Amino acid sequence: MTESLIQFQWLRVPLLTARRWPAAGRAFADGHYLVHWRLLGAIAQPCAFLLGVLLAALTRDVAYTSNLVTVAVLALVGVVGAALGLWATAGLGIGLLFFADNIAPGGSGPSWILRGLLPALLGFVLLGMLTVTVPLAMNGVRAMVRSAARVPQRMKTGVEAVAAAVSVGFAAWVWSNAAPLLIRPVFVWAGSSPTVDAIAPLQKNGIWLALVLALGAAGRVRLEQVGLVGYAARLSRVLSAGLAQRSRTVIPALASALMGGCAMTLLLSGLIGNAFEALVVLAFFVGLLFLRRRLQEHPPHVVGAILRVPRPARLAIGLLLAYGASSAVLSFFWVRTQSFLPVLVAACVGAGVITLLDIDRGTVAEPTRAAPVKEVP
Amino acid sequence: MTATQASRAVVRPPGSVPLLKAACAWAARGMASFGLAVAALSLQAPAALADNCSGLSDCFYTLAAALLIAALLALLIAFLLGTGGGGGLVLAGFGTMTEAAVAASWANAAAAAAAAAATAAAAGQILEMSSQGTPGNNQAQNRQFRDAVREAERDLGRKFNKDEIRRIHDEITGQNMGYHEIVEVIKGMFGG
Repeated sequence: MTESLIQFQWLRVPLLTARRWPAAGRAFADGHYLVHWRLLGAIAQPCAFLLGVLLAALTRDVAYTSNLVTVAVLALVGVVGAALGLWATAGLGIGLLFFADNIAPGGSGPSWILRGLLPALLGFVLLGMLTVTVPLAMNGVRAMVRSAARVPQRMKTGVEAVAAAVSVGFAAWVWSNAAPLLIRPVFVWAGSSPTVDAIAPLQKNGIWLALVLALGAAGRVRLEQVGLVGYAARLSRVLSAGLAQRSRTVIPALASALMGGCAMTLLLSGLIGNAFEALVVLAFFVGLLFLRRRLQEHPPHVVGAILRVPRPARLAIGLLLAYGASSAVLSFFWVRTQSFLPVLVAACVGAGVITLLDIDRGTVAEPTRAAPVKEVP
Repeated sequence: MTATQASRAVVRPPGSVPLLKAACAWAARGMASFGLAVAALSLQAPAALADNCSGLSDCFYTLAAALLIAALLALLIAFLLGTGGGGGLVLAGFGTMTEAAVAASWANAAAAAAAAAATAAAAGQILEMSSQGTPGNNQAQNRQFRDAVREAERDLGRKFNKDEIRRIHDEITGQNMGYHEIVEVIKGMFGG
C-alpha cells in the first residue's frame, strides 16, 4: 500500500503531467526525497492538502494575508517540497471556498463568480507563487551552484545551502512587497476596499517571513542530502530521466503570447483601474511576449550584436534603463493621481526593458529528440 | 525510456532511517541562526508603514517607497516571463521549452534577481533616507501626517524634499493639530 502510494504520487503523476506541462511535472516531483522515510513519503502530499483545509477552517478569511502565520506555514511546507506546497495551497483554496464567509457576500450566480470566485482564485495563484514557484526557483539556483566549476567540491554543500537561503529569502521578500498590491482584486472586485488587517501584516513583517523561509531553505538542503540516497536516489534518477523528455504540447507563438498576456493582466489586475487600462496592459504583454519570441527565433543583425554583449552587462544596462524610466514615470505622476497607474506603468516598462535585453536565443527549443536514458537498476 | 515507461518503473525501497535525529540536529542549528538573525533585525530602524493600499498615498509614504515596489514588481514580472512559466505554472511558454532551455532560463532569472537586488537595495536606501522626517512610531499619526503632506503637495503642485518634510515635522510636533490644521500650516509655510 505504502509502495503503491509512493509510486503513484512521486512517479506516475509527475511524469504523466510533465508530458503535457513540464513545469507542473517538476512541481509535482519536487520533494520526492521524502520517500527515503517511506511512511512520510506516502502520506506527505495528502497531509499537506489536509493541512491547507485545516488552516482554511481556522482562518475563514479569503484574504489569507491577514494571517501571516498561515502564509508562513504554507510557504514552509512549500520549501520542503513544491508538491507539498501545491497541495497545501489547493487545500487552503478549496477549504476557503467552503468555510470563508467573505467571498462576495450577498452575491450569487455569475455575479458571485466574477466578484467572488475569480478574484479568490487569483489570490490563490498569488499564494502559489510563494509556495510553488519560489521552491522551484530555489532548485534552479541550487542546480547552478552544483554545476558551477569555480566552486570547490568540498564547499559546494555549504554554498548550495547559502544560495538556497539567499534565493528563497530574497524571493519571499519580493513576494511580501508585491502581494499587498496583487491581492487587491479580492476586495476591489467585490466593491469594497482592502482592509488594513489584510495589507499591513505583510508590509510590516515581510522581512520575518523571508527570514523564516530562508532558514527553512537551508534546512531543506540538508534534509535532502540526508534523504536523497538509496531508494530515493534511484527514484530521483528515474524522475530526472522522465522530466527531461520534451513536452508533447506545442503552442503557436501568438497563442502562447495571448495566454501569457492574459495571465499577466490578471496577475496585475489589482493595480488596474478600468477596462481601458486592462486592454492596454494586455496588449503590452501580448506584444512583448510575441516580440521576444520573434526576436529569439529570427534575431535581426542589431539584436545579434546586442546578444554578443555579455548577459550581466546587458542586465545591468537593462536595470539602469528600467530604473531611470520608472523614476521618471513615478516622479511625473506622483502629485497628479491617487490611482496605481504610475506604479503599474513603471513596473511594466521596467519589466519590458529587462525582458527584451535579457533575450537568449537558446530559450526557444529546437525540435530535437530526447537523449536515451538507461533503465533503473 | 519514455515518460510512460519511466512512470511504470518500479523502485524498491530499503529500510527506513531515523528522521527525528536529523530533524533535531537541524532544528538546533536553525534555532541558533534564528536567534542571531533576530538580534540583527532588532537593531534595524522601523520602516515606513502603509495603510490599506486603497490608493497610492495609502500604500506609499514616499516616492522612493513607490519606486522600490515598482522595481520589485518589474523584477517579479521579468522573472515570470523569463522562466517562461517554468516557475509560474500559469504563464506563457509552457510546453515549448526543453529541460536545458529551462536551466538556461533559470540562470537568466537568477542573474536578473542578483542584479535587481542592487537596484532594490538602492531604492531601499533612498527610502530610509526619505523616512527620516516621519513623526514618531505611531501608525495613525504617521498616516495623518503623510496624508496631510500629500494633500498640501497636490494643492501646491510640487513635491517636498527631505529637508522641507523635516521642517514641517519640526513645526507641527507637539502642537496636537488636526488634519486640516496641518495642511493649512504646510501651505502657509510654503506659500499656498
